[in-house]
Amino acid sequence: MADEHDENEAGAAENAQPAQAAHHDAGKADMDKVTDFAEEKEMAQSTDLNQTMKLLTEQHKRDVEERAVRDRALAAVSVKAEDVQLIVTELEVSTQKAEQTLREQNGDLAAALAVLAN
Amino acid sequence: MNFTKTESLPAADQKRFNMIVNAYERKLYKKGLKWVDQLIKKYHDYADAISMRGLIIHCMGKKEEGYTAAKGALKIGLSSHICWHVLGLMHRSDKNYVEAMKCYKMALRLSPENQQILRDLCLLQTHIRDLDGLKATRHIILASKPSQRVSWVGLAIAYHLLGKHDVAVQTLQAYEDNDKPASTDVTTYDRDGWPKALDFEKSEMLMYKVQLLEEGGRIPEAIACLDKNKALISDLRAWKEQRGALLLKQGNRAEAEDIFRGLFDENPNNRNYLTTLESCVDPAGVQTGAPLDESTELRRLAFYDELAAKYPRSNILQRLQLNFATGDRFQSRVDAYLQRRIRKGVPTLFTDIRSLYADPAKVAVFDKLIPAYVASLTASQTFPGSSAKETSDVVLWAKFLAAMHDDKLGRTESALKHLEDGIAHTPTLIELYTAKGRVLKHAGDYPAAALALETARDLDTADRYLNGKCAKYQLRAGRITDASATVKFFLKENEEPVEKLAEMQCMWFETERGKAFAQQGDIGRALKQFYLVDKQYNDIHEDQFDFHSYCLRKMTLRSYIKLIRYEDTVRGHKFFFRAATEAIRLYLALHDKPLNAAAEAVLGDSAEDKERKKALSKQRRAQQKAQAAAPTEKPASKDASGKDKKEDKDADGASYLQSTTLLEDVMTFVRPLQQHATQHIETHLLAFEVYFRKNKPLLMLQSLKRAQRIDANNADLHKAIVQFALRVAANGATYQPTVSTVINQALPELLNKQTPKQFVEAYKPATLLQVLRNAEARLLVDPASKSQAIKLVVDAASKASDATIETFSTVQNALATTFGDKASATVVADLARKQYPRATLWK
Repeated sequence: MADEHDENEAGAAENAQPAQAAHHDAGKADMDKVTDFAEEKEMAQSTDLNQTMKLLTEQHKRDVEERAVRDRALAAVSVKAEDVQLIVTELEVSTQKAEQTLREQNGDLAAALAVLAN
Repeated sequence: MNFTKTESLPAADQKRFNMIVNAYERKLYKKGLKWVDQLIKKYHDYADAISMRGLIIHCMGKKEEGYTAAKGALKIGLSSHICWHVLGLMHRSDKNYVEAMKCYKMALRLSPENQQILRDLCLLQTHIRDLDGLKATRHIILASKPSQRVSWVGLAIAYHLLGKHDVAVQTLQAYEDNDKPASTDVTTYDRDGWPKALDFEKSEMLMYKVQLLEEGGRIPEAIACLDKNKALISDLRAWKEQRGALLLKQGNRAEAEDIFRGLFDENPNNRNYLTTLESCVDPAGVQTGAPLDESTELRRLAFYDELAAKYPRSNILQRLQLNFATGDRFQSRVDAYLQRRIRKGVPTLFTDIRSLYADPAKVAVFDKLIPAYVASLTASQTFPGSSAKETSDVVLWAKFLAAMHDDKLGRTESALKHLEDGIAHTPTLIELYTAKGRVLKHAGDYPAAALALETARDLDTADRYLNGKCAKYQLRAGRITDASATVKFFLKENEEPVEKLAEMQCMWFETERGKAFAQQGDIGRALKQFYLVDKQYNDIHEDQFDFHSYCLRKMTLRSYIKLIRYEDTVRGHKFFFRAATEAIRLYLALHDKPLNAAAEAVLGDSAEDKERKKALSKQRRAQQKAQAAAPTEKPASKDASGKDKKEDKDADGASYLQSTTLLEDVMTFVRPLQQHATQHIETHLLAFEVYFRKNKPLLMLQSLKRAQRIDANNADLHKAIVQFALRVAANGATYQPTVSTVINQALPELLNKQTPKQFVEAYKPATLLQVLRNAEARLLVDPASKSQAIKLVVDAASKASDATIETFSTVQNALATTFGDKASATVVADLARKQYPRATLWK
């Protein structure tokens, strides 16, 4: 308890100087004290809630599956590594984007270039 | 004793560890540090404690030590989720988002249901807009803590940001249905007069739900939700506005009209209410751009007159009419508008009507009315056609308005005469001096303009606006140190202007300072200033981080979504645009003519090279001056908070100049413009210039296509297309075949299906700049046609009655350098001087 008191005194001395600081700085010390710490409110559980949650989780699972299917379809397209490299060099996009565009255009380099150069 | 996992500690020490974590969360660093040191003394190899210590000292400012401690702790406790989490937190606070993400994911693998880690992961994913990841994490949180409101709200936000409005509504609805408030009785009130059942957070959530429904296109449900919950909404104004907007969207104009009439009654100066009300009443009449036919105009004027009778003091009712009124109706209304405000002495009158000067017919009306006021008031102290005597200061404001009017129409001398008369009449009226400064600035006499602003500033040294304006004008006049001294009047003793204004995110100062340095040839310092602006935008973007958790807790969801959307395009703001375009031009100039000794050695004796040498030696002198000044600057001191003040090791920006990757450095400015400022043709034209030098044909094509979509007749675009076509013709053989195909397919579209020669011949230039660029293009296509091209430019310059100082200057420089014809450059300079006799550029 004693050390807490000491710290508060030191803190007060530190704060006295900035307190006389310019008005536009007035809120700064307070802002610095704002923390992320908070107690979260709790509420009672019920069957409706659980039901909706099940629905949402299932929706989420379906989304993830859809995404996986799309990715697999795209992955099935054969793309040449040198084509990807060309896109990266000539159009200054990331390897990921270059590959993605190429796959979406069915591996057609000219089409991919035309799309990205638009 | 050797404990690596918190779980294996005795209970008392475990509790102490939790208190340490708590202290960190509450930002009580000194206390936390003391406790953790005690704990480490007891257990030497306690990985979790060592990493917590690292985290705390990192937050106190000692970043290096913090990382060392945390990484050391990780070596001891590789499978401790706390160590990974701590390292993630440190990376996140230092903005190494990729690293942070990796650490969080490791921590999560070690402790899959840890709420802390999940929460921090969410914040990071929102911040870097990894929306799919955010959705997945939110689902995990929801599954583990379905009883907390924030789990549901967080998920709804994630779906909203992904554009899945329906699922977001479903989520909120589930929570809402289950939330049993303490009381639903809205008839008992608390001390402040609000119904006791009114809960701000619930109110905000409902309004957010309405917004979700609206964005999802479910208008009837949105309206129903608003109606059902009116008693629970605390933001009544927003409730009304939202309901009115929704009804209008639905097509229910009559009800919407009622609402907006009510809102307008509450605030008869709200432009939004007025224009929305008009579109409820008369949707056909409210168009933008095209002039109205007479019956529509009369109808709209009747609508405004009816409202104006009811709200005689509403400024906006009177002002908006002037936008679409024409002929005599315009004249009579603007006459009344102006007279009333001249009588009142409204200094911002000209700024108010300035947008009307885009219409030549209206300019003619102003040119009739305003001189008449001045004449009549000077002669008989009455307005034309009236016998009521005005007070003696009214003529002053009439002259003030006349001065601004003349200045707008380029009549510098007349404007200055009016202002001088005004100053003779009332030497203490500050607006006269600021206006004088503005007129002189438009006339190109920057030093005199700065002097006028100094006089203005002296008249009221407590006015910070004047102080800033004075500093800006001084910067425009190239008086850089004077500007810093001026700004210092409003700072404290130990505050340095450049540093303090950067802290205050004062972007105009940095941009103007950068432009001033560039004008003097000090490219290094100029670039440094523009990088400062870039840093401000970085900070503004980073500032959103705390709000991801705060807004969810306080339920200010509508504002939160607004913030997210704003931050997504924050660099689209015009302040960034201004600084970025200047910086890009500097980089292009630097690339074309590198300022270094090696380059200087190559220079010969031609006049142009002599100028280069002069600029180089100037740069060197400036550098030497800076080095000489450095020892007299304050030594590295500790500032108020005890942290070491960083010495500016690169005060003259030399590091930017010495970079060997100039064309990569410039992309810091180019890419954000391409992402967020695509509506400005300048973005694409500057991007083209960069890619031209980088030799990237597809990116050049991309920029040209985008520019062409905005304005196909643009002068610089015309020249750029020709440059591109010639470059392709010259280098086409070296391109990869597919690249060639794509370019050759797109090129005819750019050239209007003509050859470059036909293209330059067919161009119909309307402005002097267009003539110049066309001439430059002709020179590129056929170097032998130089003299004809020069003749075209000089002829156009002699006929150009409305070319700006900037255009004349560009033409003069182009004739001297690109065309190498000093004689014609002098001719153009003479023409410019005749039109702008006060401009210091040609004095």
